[in-house]
Amino acid sequence: MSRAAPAPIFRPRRRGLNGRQREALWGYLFIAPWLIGFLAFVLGPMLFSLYTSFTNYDITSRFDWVGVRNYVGLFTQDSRFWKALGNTAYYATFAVPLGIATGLLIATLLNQQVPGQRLFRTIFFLPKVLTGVAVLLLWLWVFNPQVGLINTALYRLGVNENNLPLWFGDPVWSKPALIIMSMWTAAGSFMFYLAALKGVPRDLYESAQIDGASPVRQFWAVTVPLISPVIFFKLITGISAAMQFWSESLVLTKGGPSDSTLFYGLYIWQTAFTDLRMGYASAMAWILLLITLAITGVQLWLSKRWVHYEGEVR
Amino acid sequence: MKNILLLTTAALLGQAGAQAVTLDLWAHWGSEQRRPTINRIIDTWNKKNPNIQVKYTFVPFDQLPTKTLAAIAAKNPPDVVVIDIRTTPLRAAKNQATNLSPLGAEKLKSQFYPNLWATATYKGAQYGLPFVTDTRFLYYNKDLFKEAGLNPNKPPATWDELEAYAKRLDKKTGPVYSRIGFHPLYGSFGLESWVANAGGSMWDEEMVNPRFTNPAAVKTLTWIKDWTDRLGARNVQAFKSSFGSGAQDPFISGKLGMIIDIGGYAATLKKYAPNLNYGMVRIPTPTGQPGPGTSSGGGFNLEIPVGSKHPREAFAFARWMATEGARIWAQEQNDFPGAKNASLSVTTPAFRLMSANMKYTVVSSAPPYAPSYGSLLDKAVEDAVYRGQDPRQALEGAQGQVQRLVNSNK
Repeated sequence: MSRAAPAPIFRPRRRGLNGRQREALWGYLFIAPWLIGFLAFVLGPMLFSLYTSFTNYDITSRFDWVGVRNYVGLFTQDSRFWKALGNTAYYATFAVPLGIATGLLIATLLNQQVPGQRLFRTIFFLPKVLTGVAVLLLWLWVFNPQVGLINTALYRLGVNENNLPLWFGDPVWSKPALIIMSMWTAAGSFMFYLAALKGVPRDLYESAQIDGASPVRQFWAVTVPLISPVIFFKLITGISAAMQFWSESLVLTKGGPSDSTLFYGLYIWQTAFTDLRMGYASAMAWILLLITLAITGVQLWLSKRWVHYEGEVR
Repeated sequence: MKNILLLTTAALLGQAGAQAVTLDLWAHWGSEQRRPTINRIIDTWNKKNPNIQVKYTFVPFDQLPTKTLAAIAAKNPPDVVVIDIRTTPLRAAKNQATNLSPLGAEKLKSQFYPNLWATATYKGAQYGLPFVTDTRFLYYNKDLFKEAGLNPNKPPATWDELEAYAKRLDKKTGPVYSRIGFHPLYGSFGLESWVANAGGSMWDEEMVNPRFTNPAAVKTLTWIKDWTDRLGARNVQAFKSSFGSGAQDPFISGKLGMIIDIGGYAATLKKYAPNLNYGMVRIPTPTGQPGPGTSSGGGFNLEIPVGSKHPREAFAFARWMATEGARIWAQEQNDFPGAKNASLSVTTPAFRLMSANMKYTVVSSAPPYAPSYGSLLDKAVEDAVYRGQDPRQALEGAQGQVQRLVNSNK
């Protein structure tokens, strides 16, 4: 892309630029701010980190080439690397589909013709606005084993005191707690689905009704295929976000108990900024990129089977 | 004393030329309680030293290490930084902190508590000046002692007594505990502190190689595990989750009969529970005799990041702040200063106790090759205490991981 750009500049013809070239030049001129930013703040650092991943870089005192030692060390000696990878996979496996289901369910409800719908939509959008540490501390209370909202409710429902989950205190329940928590922001993304639902032609439902399809059947046979591009988009971006999920665990659990919420991103951060092993952390970051690319590739390939684009010729 | 300081400052200025310089000071004090004191310290200095003006920047606590690191890497660091006392050797090893010995730091050694001075010594040179620290005590509720038939004037001195007293103070309502006398992991005293309290250490002398499986460590972890098993691991964890701050503080609300906390906790109690009838004593040890590691402390050092454009002026200010500045700080904030003279200027009973406790307080530095070892050790403790793993096995696992970290970082 960027290789084509200099051509019109450095080989000026006597008769000047033709229309296409002129247009291209203006095009590149207009995207130049973004392009410069991308080169300086994204591609540049990425290439630097790729180089760094083959060194023992610690930011201030050394920067020696160590070859693939970081990568070999990660795969063969570092049990926490596998633990972090496993935790992240666990989180992505549950948080992404559940997040999509929650968003879709809420969007469907908010698409009904009921009085006060605008108010409901505003309320459900609030989680997107309210974020940060204050909200996380609120969740800490919600999951508090003794005085928290959830366990109090479970206790009232008759769950024995000794069977109540300890949530962030128990390695078995700490990840589910974070996943339940992630539903809160997932609910706020109903906007995407709502927009897609609005785009489904009414007459398709009418045809389905004439054929005697129940509302549930209509949902699966008409709604889902027609909004599948949006679901697919949320799946791709959701997995990529889930692979990078970690700041909540830093605030709430610091990776504990017993490393059960040591997510990949948290481990990278700890390696880079506590242990000052920037080279090793860079290697981890590149492995994460490759994994995410691979998953996305598989998704794109699978999507041919279930994602329906309107106007697409098969 | 003050005159000498002013004279040397003047001499330094003579060398640097008459031009006024501005120093950047970074620290994490931004709260309503802390901010006025740091402002007062800087104003005092600025008035006396028109040629070395200090500008204060508040950086949130959790961002300070990374921001400082980034600024050093970008070759535009602050001139003085107030930073975690435990990690100075790490920054010395990584060429992030300026060696203060060539600037004359050694001459100041006798003015500071030796254990604090040592936190900033790396390979025989000095990389920081101690500013403040703390030391821990056992706080016990005298009224609850009376209620349980214990003599409030005879607090526990040994681990056995501690446990026996705790058992008497435990109170069960049906199947659940409404009060727990004491638990070794409640409060602010972890496994490493208990091992030091027992006279051991998790590291070799140079803080290079871990020795997590030394007999004192295994014995201590087993002791904590047995204690937990008696109460029920689940109960211990669930009970802890009901703790809060202020009026929900477990010691203030009477949920805990005894707790270990820093000397400054006395000021908290005075503020939030003025009528609480409590005692404040040295932390019990296995034998009842105190040793160099009976208590533990943390705190902050003053460092000059590598790349400061005015290291001489920065050192002059850091030296003043660590002594005269610390005096103001101690008087207003009740934090225990690293400079002996500054500590003597406060005469409250809690401060006297803290001063006496200094020689029994270990302020351990983070090992330069494995600064993140804490999370690995925490996991071992949790696995053993709450999840039934054998203490020795848990420690062996952590030892292996930390040793690997050390080897690859050397």
